[in-house]
Amino acid sequence: MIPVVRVYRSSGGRGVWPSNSTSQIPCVPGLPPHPGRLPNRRDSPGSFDDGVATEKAVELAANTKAVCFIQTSRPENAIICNNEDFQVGQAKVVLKSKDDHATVIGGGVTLHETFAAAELLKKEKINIRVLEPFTIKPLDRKLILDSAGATKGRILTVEDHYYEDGIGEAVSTAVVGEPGVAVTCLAVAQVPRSGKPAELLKMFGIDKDAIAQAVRALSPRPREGMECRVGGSIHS
Amino acid sequence: MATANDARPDTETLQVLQDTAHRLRIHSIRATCSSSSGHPTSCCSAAEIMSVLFFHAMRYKRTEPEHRDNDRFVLSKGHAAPILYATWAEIGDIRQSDLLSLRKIHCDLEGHPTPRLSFVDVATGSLGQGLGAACGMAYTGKYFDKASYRVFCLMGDGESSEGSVWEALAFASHYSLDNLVAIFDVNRLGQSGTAPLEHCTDIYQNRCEAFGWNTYLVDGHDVEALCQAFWQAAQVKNKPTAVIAKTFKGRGIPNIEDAENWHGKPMPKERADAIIKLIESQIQTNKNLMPKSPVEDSPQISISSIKMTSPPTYKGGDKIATRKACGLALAKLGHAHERVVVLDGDTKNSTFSELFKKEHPERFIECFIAEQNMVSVALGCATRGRTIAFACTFAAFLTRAFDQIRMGAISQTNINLIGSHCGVSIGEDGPSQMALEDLAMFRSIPNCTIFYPSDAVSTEHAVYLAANTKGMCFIRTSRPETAIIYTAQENFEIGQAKVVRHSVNDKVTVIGSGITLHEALAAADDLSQQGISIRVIDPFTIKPLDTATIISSAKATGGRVITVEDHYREGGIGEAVCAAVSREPDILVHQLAVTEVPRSGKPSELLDMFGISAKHIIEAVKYTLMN
Repeated sequence: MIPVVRVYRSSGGRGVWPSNSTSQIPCVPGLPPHPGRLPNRRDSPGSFDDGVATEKAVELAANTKAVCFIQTSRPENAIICNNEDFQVGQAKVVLKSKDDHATVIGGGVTLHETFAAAELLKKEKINIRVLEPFTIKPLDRKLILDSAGATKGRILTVEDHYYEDGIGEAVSTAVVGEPGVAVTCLAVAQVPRSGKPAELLKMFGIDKDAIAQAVRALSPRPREGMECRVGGSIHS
Repeated sequence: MATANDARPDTETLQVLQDTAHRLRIHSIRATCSSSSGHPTSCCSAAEIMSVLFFHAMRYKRTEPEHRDNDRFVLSKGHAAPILYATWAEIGDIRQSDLLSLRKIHCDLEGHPTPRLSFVDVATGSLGQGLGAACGMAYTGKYFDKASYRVFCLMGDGESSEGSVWEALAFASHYSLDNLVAIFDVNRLGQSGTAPLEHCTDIYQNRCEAFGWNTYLVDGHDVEALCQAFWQAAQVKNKPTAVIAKTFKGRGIPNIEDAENWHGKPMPKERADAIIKLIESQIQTNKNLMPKSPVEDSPQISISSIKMTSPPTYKGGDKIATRKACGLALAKLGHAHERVVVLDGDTKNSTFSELFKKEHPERFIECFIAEQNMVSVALGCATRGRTIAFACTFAAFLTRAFDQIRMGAISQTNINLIGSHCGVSIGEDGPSQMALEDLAMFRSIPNCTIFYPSDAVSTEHAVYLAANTKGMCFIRTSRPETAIIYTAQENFEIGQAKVVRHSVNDKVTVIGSGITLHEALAAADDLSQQGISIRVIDPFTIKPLDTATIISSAKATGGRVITVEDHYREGGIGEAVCAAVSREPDILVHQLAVTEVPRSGKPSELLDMFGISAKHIIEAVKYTLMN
């Protein structure tokens, strides 16, 4: 295992919370799509879910004109990717089957939680398709919609970030109005606190159990008056 | 228990202060060992400072840490939290056994201090911000409360590289905050290497003096020297005091004291016991000192709901910019409650906070062009409920204070921020002055209410609502003059949108705010002459958003929604609406927003050029209806 970088320090350090770090470099438009520029949102060129993707992101950022922002994590994560080709604006389908119940989009630590959720759900004969955006801006709208089409229109996003201006909102915006597609989002809903990383992921509703529960709750058509978020707050 | 003598403490008192310092070291080492994380070496350099402050220099009620008469303490070097907790354990406010639950999920003794704890006024941990907050507390004590309490702020040397520290230093001397003492814990070492000035304490002294401060250079591990410095500081009038303490990181720990690479590392478990034993062996007494009681001379105030005693006086036909309406509203609010205070960053004749200054000059704080400090000062002013603070500048310039704003949310602050000159509609000044990302920034702040009023009447309501609302509030105002939309009798609530144009034949819902609401109304007029009806919604608050009204309007208009905003696309009204309807089938949202860096030009030209004018709304409506 090699350490992956995402600015995420749950148990101290200088209290750097990435939750709205993207909004910190809000809206810098006119910049060509590149890893990590995030206007106003994600700073990540993506959720670097493993060292391979991270290395590629650094290379891409070095070769990109204009501001790039790379967001990295503190916990150690497993290597997922082999020496694949990574491109700006190109998401990866990192898990799929012929009968996927929902598309789950995660990044960084939440991608790893998603894999763990997939294992839990597999035991219940529920398969999920897992997407890794790599670049949050530009977002691979086409792949997301294709995946949604193959998974009964159900999309679940999960991010180690506040609800606002995060992956969930980016995806919601990208798919708004597409018939039959609905987005459910998991994110951090309130100011967090100190604790062990795994405890905090659980407390703030973005761990494998929350993901699995959210997937189970998804249905093809949202019912009138149904609560939209599992483990999180409604967008204000 | 021995009591402390102010000017020249006796030998016994000095010994007890030194012993207390050693105990604080031991607590810090034990706690960080228990949590396997934390910053014991940063605590050890500050042990004598904390001991002398809390058991000799400061005056406070030990069982009422939040009392309004207490001296205030800000641990700007927030990573030394364990020694703050250790101090309050020695005072008796925390059980010593609880110290071992440092950083645990069920314990409020977090990695960095937050106001979950009664003895913490502002959250720290993001460095360089404590002194600004301390300035706000000191300003409030000297000029609003006119009370005897003093304010102490402990900073690290590493964090002194932050510009915000120097903004605060300038502010404090400008306002003669002689009730403020800043202590620099100059332990030479930062996080990943040495601090730039290492132990050149004379340079710190020269810099502080150049900034107008009274300064003392002390051996930071000499309790007697510290006692004298704090006593002398209390005698100095008209100048704040900086105590520049030469210390050693990891003081008292052999082979670790003054050694690099120990920042943020607990003592190895196999060495901790021996280290503790060694420190313990230097403790000579078993005594505690009682903190001195404060002078009880700060006024009792009550900040309860402020009512709008008379409705807005605007009439249909008036044209007034919301930035001006905001200034007028602040002046009116200032009459309604004596604890409303307003800060500005040298833009008072643009934000119109000067209207408040004219009527309530003693409650206006000019912060000059130092927005990070202005936000921190506002945070400080608002602590312990002493004031209802509004800080004003151009919305674009609040973005440089994003970290202070972010920390303000963690501090559970109630401050109100007013950002004027939003969007391309400011015109000729060009993009450096245009806020196009401020809604994104503030939307991401937990518990922040965002008002985006579109006329003078709703602006006045926004100001009163903000004053009465817990949590941070942001009011976004515009530069151009706009018409009055609402009557004086209209009621406004947070999270309640207004449907300002509707009919049974509405084909599309258009959501706009500020300037773009007026553009939407102009578009509605134009379209109605072409036989097309649109519903126009004014969200009033962007956060919380009135999702119910938006969804029901969308459903009543065939699922067709257009959002139009003087803001970049990301993180603004359009995305907020998309997220709000993300689980609703058959609602299409077409977003009009500024999609690239704008430029100078006339406001109306820019609205057109960047796709958010009435003309573009009309085109979008027609396009939506065709598809």
